[in-house]
Amino acid sequence: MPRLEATVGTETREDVVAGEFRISVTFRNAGSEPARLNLHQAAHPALVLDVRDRNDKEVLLPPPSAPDAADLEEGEIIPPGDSVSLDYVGFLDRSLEPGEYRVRYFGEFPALGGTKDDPLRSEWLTFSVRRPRGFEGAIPIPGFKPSPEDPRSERPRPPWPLVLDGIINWILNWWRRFWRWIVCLILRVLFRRSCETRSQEFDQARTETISNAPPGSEAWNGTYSWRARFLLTYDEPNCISRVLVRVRLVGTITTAQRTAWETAIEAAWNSRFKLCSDGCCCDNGLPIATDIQFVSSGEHQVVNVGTTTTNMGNWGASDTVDISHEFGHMLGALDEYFTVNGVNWGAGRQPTGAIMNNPANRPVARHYDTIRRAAAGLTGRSQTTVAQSASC
Amino acid sequence: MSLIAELEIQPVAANAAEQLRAVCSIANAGEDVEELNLSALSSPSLLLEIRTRGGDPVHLPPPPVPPASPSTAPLGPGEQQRAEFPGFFPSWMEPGEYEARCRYVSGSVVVHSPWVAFTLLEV
Repeated sequence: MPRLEATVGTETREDVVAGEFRISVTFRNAGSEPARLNLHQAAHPALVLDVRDRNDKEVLLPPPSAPDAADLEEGEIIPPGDSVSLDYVGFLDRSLEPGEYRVRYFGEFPALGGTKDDPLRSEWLTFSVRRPRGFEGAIPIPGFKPSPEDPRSERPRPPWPLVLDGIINWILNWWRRFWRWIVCLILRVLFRRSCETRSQEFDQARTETISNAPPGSEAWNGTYSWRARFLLTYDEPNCISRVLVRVRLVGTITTAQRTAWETAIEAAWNSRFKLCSDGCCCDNGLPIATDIQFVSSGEHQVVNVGTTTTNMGNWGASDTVDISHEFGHMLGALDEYFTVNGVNWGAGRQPTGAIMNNPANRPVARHYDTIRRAAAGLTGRSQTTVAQSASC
Repeated sequence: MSLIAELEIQPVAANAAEQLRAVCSIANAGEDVEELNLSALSSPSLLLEIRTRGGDPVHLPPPPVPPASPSTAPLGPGEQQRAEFPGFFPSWMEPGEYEARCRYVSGSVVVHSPWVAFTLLEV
């Protein structure tokens, strides 16, 4: 008999930001016969995730997208002993009230692994939501009847005009800066706290499941895994964050080709964004400088040199476009074409697509998320990624 | 559909992942010309399925972004197309015994080769 088991996991369960909360559900066929599961349909959070607040009141999720052909198919076969995983990202509304919640997988239809009488359900995973910093709750639309399910209280609109609002925000902003300056001064004078340089090696497993590939590209459907590895140096005295990826090459490549790789990669990824935090150093943030270094030992990654680029570990000697996309994987970025971990990105190589969709284009802030999280872990402070030309 | 797949891995035991090379051959064993999806042959991530000897899947890194339209080529009766993947096995995998097979997927066509065993030796 096929017997599916579902397990919910997450990297962080304390003080998560609702709009960025990410879980993964692993489905394992613990039976002796192949089991079916429609991964495309199961990727819709609203269809399968059961979220409750501290009082066991159901937290409603946004409705799923209209079903497409893949939703109506029988689904993928999971052989006995095999397992597949789905990631669910950003399924909670950003304005969810802070507090404790729990979530579980709950599939009560055959396509989702269970039935009404015998639903496929995981254990509960408890997590806590914090108030996102710098996020203002939305202003209600006038004349719009609020949903009875909306747990947010009505926020009265202040009577003063927007200009006054702007002035007050400006004053508050400077007041906060002034206060932080005072705190930092105390830390420096009394506790001899100074700007430091911190370095750490990072090694993060990354997984993505691609689905919904169009006809002709069905081979792209599947689950992929790799490791994002780099040395992060958070250099406060010089206000820069350096990300070094050491690569050992296997195969034949000319010096000119290797230089072309380095130039293309650093032009794509280097000094486009910076890390901002509420620390006492680098008020204007630490620009992210990426560096690829070719080494003969002590590598983060091995790259086989060939005629074409076929994945993160196999690069074409003359390619200077797709390799920049593959370098993004080394930094922890996920693909952004077809449906990846339940997020529908559309076709690959769109003219306006960012680098993880169209390798000829530039990265965007989310592609530095693994670096941002690594920097947060290294410094013990939350970090945000903003464009290098913007202010923190 | 009369396509058949075969996989060869050399060497069958290696000291380092980068020494392993996979060659997947898709042959037309029928009497009609078949249309072969060359894009589906373009990456080890697309064409190879790997597992431990215990049956746990070993996932490869993602394939490159697909072309806007897949490239195809006719494969006549008796003809075959080879796809070679030196260093197909991820460098971060632990030493151990593994199995791999070719898995050609295009439209509703799915063709598997037999599983082939190989070993990453403890150095």
